[in-house]
Amino acid sequence: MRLRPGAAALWWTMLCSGCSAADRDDRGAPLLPPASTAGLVPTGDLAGGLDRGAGIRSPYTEAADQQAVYDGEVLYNQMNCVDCHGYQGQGNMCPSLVDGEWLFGDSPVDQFNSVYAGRAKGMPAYGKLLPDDSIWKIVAYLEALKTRHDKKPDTQ
Amino acid sequence: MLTCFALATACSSEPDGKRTEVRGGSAVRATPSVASGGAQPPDDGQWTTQAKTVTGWRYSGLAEIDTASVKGLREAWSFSTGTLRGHEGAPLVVGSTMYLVTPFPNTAYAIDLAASVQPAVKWRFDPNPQQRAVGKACCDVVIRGWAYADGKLIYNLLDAHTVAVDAATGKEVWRTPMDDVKRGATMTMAPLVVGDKVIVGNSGGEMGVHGWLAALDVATGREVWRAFVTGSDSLVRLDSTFRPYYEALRQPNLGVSTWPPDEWARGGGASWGWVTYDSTQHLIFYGTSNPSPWNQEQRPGANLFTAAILARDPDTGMARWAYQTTPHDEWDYDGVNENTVLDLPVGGAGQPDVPVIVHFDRNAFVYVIDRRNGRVLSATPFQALNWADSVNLATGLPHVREDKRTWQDKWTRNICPNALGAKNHPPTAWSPRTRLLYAPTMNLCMDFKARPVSYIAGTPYWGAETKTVVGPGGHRGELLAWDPVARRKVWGVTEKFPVHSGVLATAGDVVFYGTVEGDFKALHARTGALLWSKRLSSGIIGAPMTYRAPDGKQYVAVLSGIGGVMGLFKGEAGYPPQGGTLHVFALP
Repeated sequence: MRLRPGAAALWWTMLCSGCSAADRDDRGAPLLPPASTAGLVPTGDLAGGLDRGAGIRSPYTEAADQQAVYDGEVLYNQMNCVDCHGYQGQGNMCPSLVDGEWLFGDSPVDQFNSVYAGRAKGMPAYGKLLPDDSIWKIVAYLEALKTRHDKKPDTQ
Repeated sequence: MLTCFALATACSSEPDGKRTEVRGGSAVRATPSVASGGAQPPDDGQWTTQAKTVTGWRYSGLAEIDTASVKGLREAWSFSTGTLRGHEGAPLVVGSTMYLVTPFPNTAYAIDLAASVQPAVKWRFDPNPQQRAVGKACCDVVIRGWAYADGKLIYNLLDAHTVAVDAATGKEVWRTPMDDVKRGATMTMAPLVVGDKVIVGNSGGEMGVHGWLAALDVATGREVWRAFVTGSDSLVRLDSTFRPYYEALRQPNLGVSTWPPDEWARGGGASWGWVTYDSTQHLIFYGTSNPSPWNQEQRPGANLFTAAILARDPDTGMARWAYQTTPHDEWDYDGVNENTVLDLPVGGAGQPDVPVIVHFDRNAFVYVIDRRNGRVLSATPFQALNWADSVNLATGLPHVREDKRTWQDKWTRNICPNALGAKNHPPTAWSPRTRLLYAPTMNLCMDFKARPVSYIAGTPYWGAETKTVVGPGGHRGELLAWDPVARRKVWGVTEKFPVHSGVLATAGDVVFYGTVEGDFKALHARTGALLWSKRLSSGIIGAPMTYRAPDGKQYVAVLSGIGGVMGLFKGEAGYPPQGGTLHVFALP
């Protein structure tokens, strides 16, 4: 059994169980945890050997669940994935998520395990911070990003 | 510390047709007199610190390769570093041995220049830094330089350790942990040795690190002092000897009071750039990075002492003065660029030369600062600049343009320079013969939108999206020859990509630099005329240097190997393949 710090569990109960559209302010910007809160929560740093194996499955199948994709985008921003992997997933100080190259496998389960357990070259282990359901939502967003990128190359 | 997104297409926007190049201008000047510092002692032919001198000059007295002979330059030998990522820094030559260090995994090589047939590897040292450092480094996994002292090669590892290697054997002498890579701190800067101490600093202005500069004992690696850039006066190492020229900087505990509660502790201000030293004042000079996060709305206040220049006593680390180039930075204008130590006739007619530092800042002002007290004597735009109108020399404060301030969830358009700055860390050269500084510059502007961001240890504490656009004139880079007394450009050579290599000036009146495309160029130091050029195996973001080998000949060396923040341009026409190679040139 993994132990999550109490602060993390409480925080997620308050802010992100579901992360629905109601969690946005009137300008549509996602609500964020207080700036002083998230830093108290360790992301974990031990990568590898702790993933959940191949016998897990996303509750959000295909691209049908748009709410999961939406919630996943909110989490992608809140968890600072965005500044590392880019505002369209095109990569920044961390690898691109839309270039078709997957160092650790491209299946949803592979992606879940990368987020959950971290990877050796600096990807934090979010399994200590996020409930499984939230990680699956991030994975749903990553799947959607891939599709968007295939359809519409970055035109910025 | 860098900017990120969507350069390729944005940068193809239409130039306005105005070219700033004035190549071939009449820049010929008389060689200065002995009294004004023109006469140099005979060159020892070595290159023992990154800038050759601790004053940051990057000038060699060797003159076998001169404006006439340089056209005959040929590649004498080359050496693959076996590493793909961005290659910054300059090789060192001490006696008959050359030393170089690769980007992560920070392998060091010693090359015997006296070997009978061809230069040969004397030893190789693999420090095996922690892999996790790769994902914590903002701007590629570079190393910006290495130092030699007391029979040791000393350098920083990406995983925030400083290591010393026996220069004769390649065996590790000491390794000191300096910061926590798990929380996002890395180390990339070039150490500077002053006496029996080596000065090092951290990187991570995009990760919410707590910036610091520290001195280690060269013999043992023991930490002698550490000065943070934010926090209480004791953390910042300020006491009654801290006498900055500007009154506003003399208040107590500014490293706390100019921040929201607790934000200073993750406020960036990393010291990832250059350190220079003035033996007369016995002071070191260095700059500090942008504050974290980029979203300025989360950190009201001046955010001292980020985006600033500080002078410290190298023995104790106590600060003597500070000057903040970009108060409450909203644009990623780190203050880490080099502070070249010069004595210049800027005190008025009949007055003695003034001891100054000259600093080309990211924010597109070049500052001439009295190095005794931090008084700004001049602040002059050297590239496209619209975030401020001017700098008030009485207060030291820039007059910021309200329409170029940046905001959360709102785009501010066409801010010049962009987040990379009008000049990034690649260093200038100073020629005491031409009395000019040669600066690698960039001509980029940006759109900027901040976003709210929470601090999560080990992830970016960044909070901004930027789009880069090409600056006025349509070129993105320019090698500038700058007269710091007349405060004007004497000539410039424009380039398609930003100029992101270091620069070398020589007594042969030749200036060397490299381009992103991989062209290693020699210019006439007085006119900017192109004298020689050679396309290398990859792009050049390293710093050229020159030395006299045991065979008595002058050689010029540079690392090629594209990467660093120039990786933003990957995929564009002309952007070369990766791969680190040392190229060494000589006359036949």
